[in-house]
Amino acid sequence: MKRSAFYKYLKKPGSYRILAGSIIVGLLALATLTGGAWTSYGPDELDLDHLLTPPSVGWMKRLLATEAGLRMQQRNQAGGRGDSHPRAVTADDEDLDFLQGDSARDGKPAEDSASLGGAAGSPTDAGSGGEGPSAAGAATGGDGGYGQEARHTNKAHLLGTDKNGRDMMALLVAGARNCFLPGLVTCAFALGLGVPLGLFAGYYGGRVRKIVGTFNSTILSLPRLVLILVVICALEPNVYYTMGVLGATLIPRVSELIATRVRILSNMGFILAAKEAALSDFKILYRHLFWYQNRAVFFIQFSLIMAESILVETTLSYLQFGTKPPEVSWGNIIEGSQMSFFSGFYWITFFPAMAIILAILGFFYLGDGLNARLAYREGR
Amino acid sequence: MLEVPLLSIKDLCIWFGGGGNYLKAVNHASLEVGRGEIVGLIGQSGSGKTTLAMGLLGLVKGYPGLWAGTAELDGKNLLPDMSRLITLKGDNVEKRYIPYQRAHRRQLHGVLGREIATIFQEPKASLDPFYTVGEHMLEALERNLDRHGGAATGGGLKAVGIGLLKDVGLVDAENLWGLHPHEISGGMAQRVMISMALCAKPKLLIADEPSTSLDVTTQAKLLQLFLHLRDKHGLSIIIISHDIGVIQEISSRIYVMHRGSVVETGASARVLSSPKHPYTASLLDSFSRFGEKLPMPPANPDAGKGCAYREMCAAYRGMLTQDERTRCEGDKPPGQAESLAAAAGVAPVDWSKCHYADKNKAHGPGTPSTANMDRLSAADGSQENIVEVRALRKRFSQGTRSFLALNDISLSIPKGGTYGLVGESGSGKSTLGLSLMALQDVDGGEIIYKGEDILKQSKARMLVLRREIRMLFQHPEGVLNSGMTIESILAEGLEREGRVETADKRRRVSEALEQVRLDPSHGARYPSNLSSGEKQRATIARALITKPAFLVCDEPVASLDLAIQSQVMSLLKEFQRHLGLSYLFISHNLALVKILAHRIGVMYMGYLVEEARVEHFTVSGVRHPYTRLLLASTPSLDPGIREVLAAYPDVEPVRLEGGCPFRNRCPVYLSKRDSICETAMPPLVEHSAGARVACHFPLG
Repeated sequence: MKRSAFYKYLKKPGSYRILAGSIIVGLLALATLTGGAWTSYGPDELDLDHLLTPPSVGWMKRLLATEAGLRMQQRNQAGGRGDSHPRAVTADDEDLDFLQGDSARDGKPAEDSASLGGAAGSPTDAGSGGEGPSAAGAATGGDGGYGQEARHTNKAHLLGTDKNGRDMMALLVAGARNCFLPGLVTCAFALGLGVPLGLFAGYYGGRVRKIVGTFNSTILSLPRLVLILVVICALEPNVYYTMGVLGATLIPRVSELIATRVRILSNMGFILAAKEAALSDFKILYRHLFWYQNRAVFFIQFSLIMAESILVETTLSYLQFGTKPPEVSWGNIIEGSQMSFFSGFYWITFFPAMAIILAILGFFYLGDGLNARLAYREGR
Repeated sequence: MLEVPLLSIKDLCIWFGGGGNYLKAVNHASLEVGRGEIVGLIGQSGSGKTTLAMGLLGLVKGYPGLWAGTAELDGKNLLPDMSRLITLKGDNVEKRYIPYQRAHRRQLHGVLGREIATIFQEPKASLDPFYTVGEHMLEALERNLDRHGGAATGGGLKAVGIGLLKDVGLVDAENLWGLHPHEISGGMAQRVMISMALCAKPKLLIADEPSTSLDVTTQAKLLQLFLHLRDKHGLSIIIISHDIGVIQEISSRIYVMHRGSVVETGASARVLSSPKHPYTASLLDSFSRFGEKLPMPPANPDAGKGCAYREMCAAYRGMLTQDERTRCEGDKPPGQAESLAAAAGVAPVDWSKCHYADKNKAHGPGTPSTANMDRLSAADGSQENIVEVRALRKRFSQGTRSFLALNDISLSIPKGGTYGLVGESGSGKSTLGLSLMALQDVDGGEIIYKGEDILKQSKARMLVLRREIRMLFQHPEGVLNSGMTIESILAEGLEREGRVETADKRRRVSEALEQVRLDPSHGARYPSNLSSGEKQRATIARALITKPAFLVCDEPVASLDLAIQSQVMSLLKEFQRHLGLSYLFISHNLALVKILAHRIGVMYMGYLVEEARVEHFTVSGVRHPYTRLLLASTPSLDPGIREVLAAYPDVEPVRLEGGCPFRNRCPVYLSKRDSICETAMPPLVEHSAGARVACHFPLG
């Protein structure tokens, strides 16, 4: 049997890791580039018919929702708006703050609450049917008569909605952009400066190495968190500034790593041979020392730093130092919804958390796989 | 016939690998070592000689492998019986279940490091850099306390250890005791390894290429030490080497291996004077007719019909009748296993894997052909020099210590000829080579290449000159960037010629590859996919692609097998003849330099001590005692040379300040004790036409 090129590819070391990693990173990049173009809802669109809708995918619900969670969820929703406990929507119902204002503006509170009742009935239906809560919602509450909401009613919320009726899928996609782009900023700083500094320090040695070493130890002596806070205070609380500072604090790590490797490589025959062949220093540094010997290090550092910056970004956003609402980040989604996790609304926290883990794993896999592949090609 | 052999390996096969993919490293080999006997194992790299000796001790890379056969030391079995665990399928093997690793270790308990001791190729790498020599010795002694009855206390052990160190010729053992491995020389480290091995008072010593990484003079002393140990302790020694000179000098019997099989065995005098197997003959040829094109042995002797060696067999080509030839073409000659079975389990002592072993005496050691001599005609008439070095100086400093690596070196390299530069490690010969390439800054002097001083050229001019002056390096692995293809490495040389069209580039790359007999398709490969010989040829192609006029060859064949060395040397010779290249050929091996060089310079500790035409370099013809030592140290068939060697004291080379640097090793100084040797460095003076020597009391 003739073996396909893909089969041959899979036979090489690291290919599964590269494949898994590039799928995840590719999805992230796609989400960043296209924004919400392919999601049914925008991140700032509010589907007021479907607040706190659980994910519409049946298998995922069965997999993730516990018996107790489902009960609690049902009780919460029924307790608020169910037919068995008729209760008017009031201002003290915090979850519905926004809705309250909205419906008050419309001046039709009664009808609004009726349509909500219809929506609230949907989770139980969806659990067995899997058809989607919006369909159920459309069936029962579609006659509510809101022009602008009616257009949403036939679109499913694949990953559910949050308390404001925002589509979780749209939020995740929007959050991806705010993780990926700041990560790239970090890498640009850390690798863009760290790699050349490391190459120079390792190759030229002597005074250059001392200068780079002093620079590195200066940076290392500054506490990272304080530095980030200082920059935020001095300029403005922008996540890109934060990530730039993070990148700068990672320069020593990259440059020391590269410098150590380059210093060993500089004593090897091919550097002498390259000088003998009258190659310029730039070519020796770039081609021999960086591209053919250290790109594996580069890729693995890239993936590590991306993963690290995603972690830092989400942490900062979670602590409300990073991306601020209404801008969406996986960190601040979790922050805003953490209290509802134990009330049965698992999906608002669970999906962003999974997104963070998957993104970090994806970058790790990619870097690890590329490292294995390049090491294999270099025959070491 | 040996009475009761100490070690007897019978019909041993060893496989390595895993996952159903096993590689046969040793193929039905039998070997016997008698008491107090030195047995040589010889073959190219990859012939399985190390695996045969070390594999049964579990000391090779890839252990555990699979094996079949028996190995007994003094009647004690070394290998657990594997016959029920593996299935032999013709030449292949199938594994059933492998719990043998522990069984093997149990079997070896009390043997490894006790009855059988081993020493390795890189002595300095085999010693722990954080242990002093004394700690190494104590560790070895403590493991073998029972062999040193009354010396159980610390001080007593130290005395025993120092006694053992002195036994292997380390007279200064007390001072050596506290030194770390980086503070001692390679030869000393190897002696420390040997005395550690002797701590257990073993019956058998396995020495795997013990002298390969050492200087020639150190190697000569080490081989004498092996003989001394055999005589004094009755030690049996298996010496593994690819160097025929080493083997023939000390071993009494030889096993010749090729691709995992023993192809010939016998007394070393017989095997080396009248080999009965074509492969042995070709090994001898690569030694004696070095630098010529020789037939290559078959890559897979088990494949195909008939004797795989018949293409290179002189008897097959000439002596045999038609009937006998038909047998060679049709049948494989019986291997050791079949011969063993035929002789009812008694291993034949004098044997060769050949149908007509008794008749096959056509291959004697080849006489040195006249091909080596034609080089003289090329450069003899030309008085023109391509490179002239004048009063070159270089001082290296390390902290407060400093030493002269080059001390007013002056020499001239004839155009179209070869200047050979010889010296031990640390003599400054490589520094000189790098200075000629302007890759090493110097403190003073001139290097005139075709009338221009290289040291004073502008950068732009140097870029042009670098195309004409190229260099070959010792380790091709290091020179070829492991991440680049051969093609892109070669193409780098063309970058300085401005813009070269891609098609033109490809053509010149494949041209250069063809020049060094590499297939142009090799261009797409990575260096790791080439053999060491191919790698070195690739580095030659890398130099040739810019069409140079002068090559600095810094030990270009030192890391290669003898047969491959021969190939590379013949290539270099050919290029000299056809392209008119001039060489500076740097090597520690005087015998090697003599093949190619027209003039030879000998360096010692930064000084040029003797320089003459190549004809002067015979044991009686040279004037400097150091040159004579170098010549006598080269392993050779001449027994008279050992007497010459005996006159030299067994001391380590040290950098002596003031006076002649060689005096601590010089028999003339040691007998005369003249004060002029201590105060004044002798100048390099011409004693006859074109021959210069730097000695106050030149020989003969």
